[in-house]
Formats: sequence, structure tokens, C-alpha cells
Amino acid sequence: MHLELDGLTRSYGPTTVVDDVSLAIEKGCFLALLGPSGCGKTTTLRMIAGLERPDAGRVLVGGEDITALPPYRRGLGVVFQSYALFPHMSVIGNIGFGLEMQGVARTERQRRAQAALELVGLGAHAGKRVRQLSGGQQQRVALARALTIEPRVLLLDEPLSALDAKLREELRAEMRQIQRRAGITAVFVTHDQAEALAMADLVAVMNAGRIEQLGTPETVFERPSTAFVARFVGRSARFEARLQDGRAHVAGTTLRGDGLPSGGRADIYVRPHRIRLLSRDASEDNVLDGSIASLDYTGEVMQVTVETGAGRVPVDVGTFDNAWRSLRVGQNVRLGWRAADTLSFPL
Amino acid sequence: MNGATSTRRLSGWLLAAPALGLLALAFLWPMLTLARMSLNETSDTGAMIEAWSLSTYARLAADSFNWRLTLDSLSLSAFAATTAVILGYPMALFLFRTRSRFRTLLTIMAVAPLLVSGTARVIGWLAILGDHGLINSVLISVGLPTVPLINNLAGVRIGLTESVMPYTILALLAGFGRLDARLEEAAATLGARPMRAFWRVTFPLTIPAVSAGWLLAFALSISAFITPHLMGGGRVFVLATEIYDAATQTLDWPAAAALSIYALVLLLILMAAHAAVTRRLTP
Repeated sequence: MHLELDGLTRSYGPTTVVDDVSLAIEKGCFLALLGPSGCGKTTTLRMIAGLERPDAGRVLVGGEDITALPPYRRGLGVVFQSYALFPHMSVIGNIGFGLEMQGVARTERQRRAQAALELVGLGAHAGKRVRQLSGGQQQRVALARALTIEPRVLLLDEPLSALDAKLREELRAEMRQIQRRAGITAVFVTHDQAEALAMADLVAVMNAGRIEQLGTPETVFERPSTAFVARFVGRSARFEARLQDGRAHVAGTTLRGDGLPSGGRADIYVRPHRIRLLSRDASEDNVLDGSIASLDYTGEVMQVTVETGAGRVPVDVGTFDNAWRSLRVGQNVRLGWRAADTLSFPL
Repeated sequence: MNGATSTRRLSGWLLAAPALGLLALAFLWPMLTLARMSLNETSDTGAMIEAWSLSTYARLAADSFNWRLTLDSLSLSAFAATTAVILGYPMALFLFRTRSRFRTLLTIMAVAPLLVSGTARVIGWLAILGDHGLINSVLISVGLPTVPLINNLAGVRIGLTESVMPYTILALLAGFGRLDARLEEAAATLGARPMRAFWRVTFPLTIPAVSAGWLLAFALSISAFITPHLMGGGRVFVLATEIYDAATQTLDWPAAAALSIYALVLLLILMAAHAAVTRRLTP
């Protein structure tokens, strides 16, 4: 394992911000720390970087315990949310800073900094002042600056949050590509689930200082292990159910699911893209009748909200064929989903 | 559109009017009076004679004492300003950075000397630096020779530095402005040891603040009167003490006025030079 966190804990006064966080990732892995603000993800990142001291726990890189090392002896690259570029230096001066600290000679420094600049597609801007660059360009300079020192791990703190939506998506793919090509191990912090799912090999969903789930984007999205993860990542239909004999009883209806516990109470979640509107004679493991309460057209899908006896259920209807065009508010519909798509979390 | 602009301009002038009026009354008018007086002449008996001549300036320029006075004033002020910046910088940076809940208290303590009159502060210094003061008592008690620290240049230097330091700290604090602690963190993650990060990142970014703090301290030092007067014990001569003597002792008002105008022009020239240098140093 290339990067290991072992029981990292950090408190500010009476509040424990990071609570016994442990994980291990392999070389070349791109890990996302995903969670709402205040969940401890940035503090975790800062403890890896050495900018914050853990109260307990260890950080290991390549098997070496670096917990006691100051940041300047860790050799980890950090991209800050605000980029933290040096305003009094040129672009090339910023990128060459890490090499300057290593005592690399000026010409060699220039050459390698220029190469890093080419890597992020800003070769022509070497001599410019940082503030002459756009936000997206500054972000790339920050990335190039962190990469030039050939860090053992690259740490990114909400690297795209200051950019507008369009640019964010472009840079998402670009950063991913750069990270893959360099074969670098990276940890990035984000509160944007789409960003985490699209970029990461592994996603650690954090809540109140703890890791709720660590898994591939697909697992985290399709098989959330806790109700928090189901709520935080993606949208869901949600029912409160009473369980009996492997069935879930919800307000007069009975729902089927795979491997439901035999008793007790549970929260039932179903993803909107797993729910279909059914024709009158079609059958499905789970079927609910209701009427359309609202229609929200997002371009890719029509988000239909159906008022059923069990509560409001969101349904995503694809816009590939034309069926969605005939939907009207107030229309009576049947909806259904497979038992395998029923997610249950015991209360 | 035009009407709105001119209304706004008018209201701007109206808002500035009370301050401008006060400045005109309390600064501009006395300065003009002073400038006028400096063109008068002094008779052999010492009486002021109404005139429009530069003879007072010529008389002062011919006296080599005044040139030494200028150099002494400049070097003393430069010393006080430089020392105040060097001593005040770490304190200001600490106050700027600290997250301590005592921050406000510490800031107040740093500028507290401003709440005490200059005279009282000088008397405090005499108790420390005097021939029987704290420092010399200690020296005597351990059998060392005493060091004269008052009624000489050393005393004036110490007193002046201390008296301008609160202003320097305030100017530095204001100048640090948006100095971002993240920048030092970024430098650290790129392999910079703390001292290296300071000299390569933090300090260059605070040059404008240092420069402003220095100029303020310099201007205050060169116009300081009480400290050189009381701590110099009449043996340290600077422009301000000389003006005071000319006005109150020898009653040579044209000379006092001409020296005042001279000191003002000197300061204006230095400020212009300072602005030019700062512009070149600013990142």
C-alpha cells in the first residue's frame, strides 16, 4: 500500500473533527474524500500534508511513517483551494519554486518548469505574472507547481471549486488524464459528488469526522452502505418501513427487496434512475400507483415526481425516445422497480 | 446622467468640506503665515523687519552648523525609523498571525504608549536610563563602569525609536492586509524551511508595508521635538530643537520660520524619493 492512514484523529477543543480515520490506497490510485462541509475531509488532507498535527494516528507513505515530519520534508505536492500562488513571482518562478528549494541549478530548473508548464498546456505563459492569468489557468499553474517536485502523493483541496461549471468539467477530465499519465497517487477533497464519482478510482464518503464508506464510485452510488451515503450521494425515493418476513411494509403497500432483514424498522431508498414508469399491463417486483405532482426538464432526463400512497417518489425518465413528451402534471401513472434495486438501512 | 454625476460630485465636495475647512484653517493658513514670515528680515538688534527677501535663508545656508544639523536630523530619524521597523516587524507579524484570544489585548499593549503623553514617557525613560537609573544601578552593583544613556545621542536614539514604534507597528499591521498564511504553507509543501519561506515569500510581499511603516516613523522622528529636547539634555541638536530655540530663546522668528519651511521641503523631497524607490521595489 502506497498511502496509509492509521487511526488519524484530531480535535479542536471539545469537537472531534477527524475521528479515527483509517484507509490504505495503492500506488497510482486517485482517492476522493467526499463529504459535506465540516465533515473533516480538509483536516484529514492537511494532516497528510503535515500542515496539521494529528492528536493520534499515523500517516505512512510507501511504508515509511511520516507523521512526525514537517511539511517541507514530506515531499508531497499540495494544490490549495485558493491555489496559493506566489503573487510576486512569474508563472515560471512559481512552478520552479520547489526545485529552487531543492537546490536545482537555474537552467535545469527553467527546463523542468517549462516542461511542467507544457504538460498543463500553458507553455506560452511562462513569463506572465500570476494575476494576469484566468482562474482556470491559475488552477493549472498550481497543479504544475505541485507536480514539478515529483511528489510521492499529490493532495488536492477542492481544486475546482472556484471555477465555473463548464470549465470545471473540462479540467476534471484534464486533471484525471495528467494524474494517470504521471502515474501519481492522489487524494482530493471535494463536496461535489459528481466530481468525486467522475474523477476518482476510490471514494471515501465522510461524515462527522468518520469514513462512512470507502469504495469505487459505482459501489458508493449503487450500493451505499449507510443511509447517510445514500442521502448524500445522489437522489432517492425514501420510505419508512416495517420489516416482516423479508418484506417491507410501507403505508399499506408491501415492497420487495433482496435480502431484507426479517424484522424491525428500516429506511428504504430507491434511486430515481432505477425506477421506471410502467405501461398498464406490465408487471414488476415493486409497483406503486400515483399521479404526477411535478415535471422538471433537465435536458438529459425528465425528473418526474409522483405522488403515491407511500409518499412522493422521484422517477428519472430518459429523453432518448419521445414517451416523456406526453407526460402531464396530474396524470395517473404506475411506477415500478426491481427487488434488487431496493436499498434498506435498519433504523 | 450628467446631472446625476454632477450631483454626486457636489455631494462629495460637501462631505469633504468640514475636513477641508479645518485643514485650511489649522494647517494651510499657519503654513502660509510661516512662509511669509520667513521672507522677513532680522535687524542687528534682533527685531523683525517687514520685507520680501531671501536674506534669512541665505544667512542660514551660510552657517555650516545648519548643514550639520540637517545631516544629524536625517541620520537620527533614519536610525529611529529603521530600528523601529526591525523591532516592530516581528511583533506586527505575530499580532497579525496569532489566533490567540489575547490578540486584541496584545495589540492594545503594543500601541498603549500612544495613550501616554510624550513627556511622561520620557520621564519613564530617565528612570531607566539615567545615571542612577535601572540600567546603571545594575551595572554598578555588578562592579561595571556606568554608561551615559541620557543627555546624549544614545538616549535620544532610544527614546525616539520607542516613541515611533507604536505607529510603525500599526502601519505594518495595516500594510500586511491580505497577506495569506496559505502562501507560507504552500512554500513549506514545496520544500521550503520556515526561514527560507519567510525570506522568499512572506518578506517580499510585505515590502510595501515595511516601506510605509518606515516612512511614517521617519516623518514622525524628523518632526519630533519633545524627545530630542528632553532626552538630549540640550546637547543634541536637531532641526526641531533648533526651530524651538530660534522661536523662543533667540526670538529670531524669521529664522525659525525659514527653518520650518526648510524642514517641510526636506521631508517632501524625501517622501517623493521614497515613493520612487518603493514603486521599484514593490512586487
